[in-house]
Amino acid sequence: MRRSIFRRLALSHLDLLYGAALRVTGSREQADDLVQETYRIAFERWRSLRDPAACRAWLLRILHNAHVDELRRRRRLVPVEAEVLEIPDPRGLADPERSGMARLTLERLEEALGRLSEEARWLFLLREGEGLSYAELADIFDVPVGTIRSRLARLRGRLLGEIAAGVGERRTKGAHDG
Amino acid sequence: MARCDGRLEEVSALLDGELDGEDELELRRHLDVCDVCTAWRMQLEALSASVAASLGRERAPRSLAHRVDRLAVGTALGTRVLMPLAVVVAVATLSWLGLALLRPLPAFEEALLRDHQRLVAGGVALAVPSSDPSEVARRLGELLPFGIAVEAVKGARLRGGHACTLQGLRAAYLQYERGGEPVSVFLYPRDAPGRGVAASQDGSCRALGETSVCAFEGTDEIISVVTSSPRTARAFRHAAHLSRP
Repeated sequence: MRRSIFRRLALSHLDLLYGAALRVTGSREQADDLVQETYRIAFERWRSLRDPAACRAWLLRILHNAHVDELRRRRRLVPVEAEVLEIPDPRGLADPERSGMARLTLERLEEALGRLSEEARWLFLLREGEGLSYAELADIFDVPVGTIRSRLARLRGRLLGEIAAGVGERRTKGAHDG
Repeated sequence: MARCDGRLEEVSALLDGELDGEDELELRRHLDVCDVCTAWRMQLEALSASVAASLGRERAPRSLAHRVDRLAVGTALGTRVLMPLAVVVAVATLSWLGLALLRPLPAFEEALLRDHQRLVAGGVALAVPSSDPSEVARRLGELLPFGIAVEAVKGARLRGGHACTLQGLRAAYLQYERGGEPVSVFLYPRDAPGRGVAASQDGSCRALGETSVCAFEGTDEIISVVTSSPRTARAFRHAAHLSRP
């Protein structure tokens, strides 16, 4: 692949990288810095990209690694394994009112996402937000596809649990306030 | 709940379109009769829909697009104009000083770099494109006049192996990826004739532009690592060794 072709290809993913960085960091300034660092690395190492079709996942892996490095420098990284991620009993979620899904607001969803570690948020948002396949995610996180599958199921379970718990807290608070 | 334990993960994979045909059919049959898994599926669908509705598409600020574009041009300028200019200045200075670093790269190291570049760029397909260390070792043992053992390297992904001939010397080649960066590892017997590279147990390194070539001395073998920095190279010093019969 010629350098000029790589440049066009890489720049075509700018919005995607910025969106992913913004969702994970929650800060436009940090997202800006992270994306710039990603492209700096990408333009240095572009020859290592062997398959142009894999450019999107390759750039996202650099973005993810740059963010992990930044978090390590600030000692804020919590590996996904270190979190307690259990699939809740779905019988408790069968009732949309009890599960909170009937009245799920953007604010409540963001609260639940905000309680995930950065690594877990990366995984969830790259799947839900960018639609990356399990194979692409396995490549980015450097784990087997089966691990991605189980982590995603547990993350979703945890999010549903958080949302349901938020509803429970509000009800209790509402009862006390009332 | 017990009979549905494994199914919950499958339901999540089903929504992602990641279940194989047979597994999908079997799960759909299960969903027809299981209220628990059906409830789980509905909750996951609702969660997915909420996330999709909330995320939207972000556009990178125009100022960032300009900076990134300048970065691309700047890197190209650095590579095409400034770096060669810097090399010329550095070589001239070192020449004047008469330092040893000015000596041309030995032919053997040139051969290592050449093979590193063509194998990493994908110009030549790896003879053993496997990430399984024992499989790579076994297949390379069939292609080379010596047997090798390949070890897993922490934080790195094995891409495969190849049999190389460097200045007439047969060598095992292993390709790894670490942090998005390619790493080439060459291994050959320590007593092989014709190797023109200095090696030491801690690694004897030489930098060429953005690439480092480091040679590590093992018990029976020499490992030459070609990558971006001596620090990265050191992580691969025990990546492989000769296997004794």
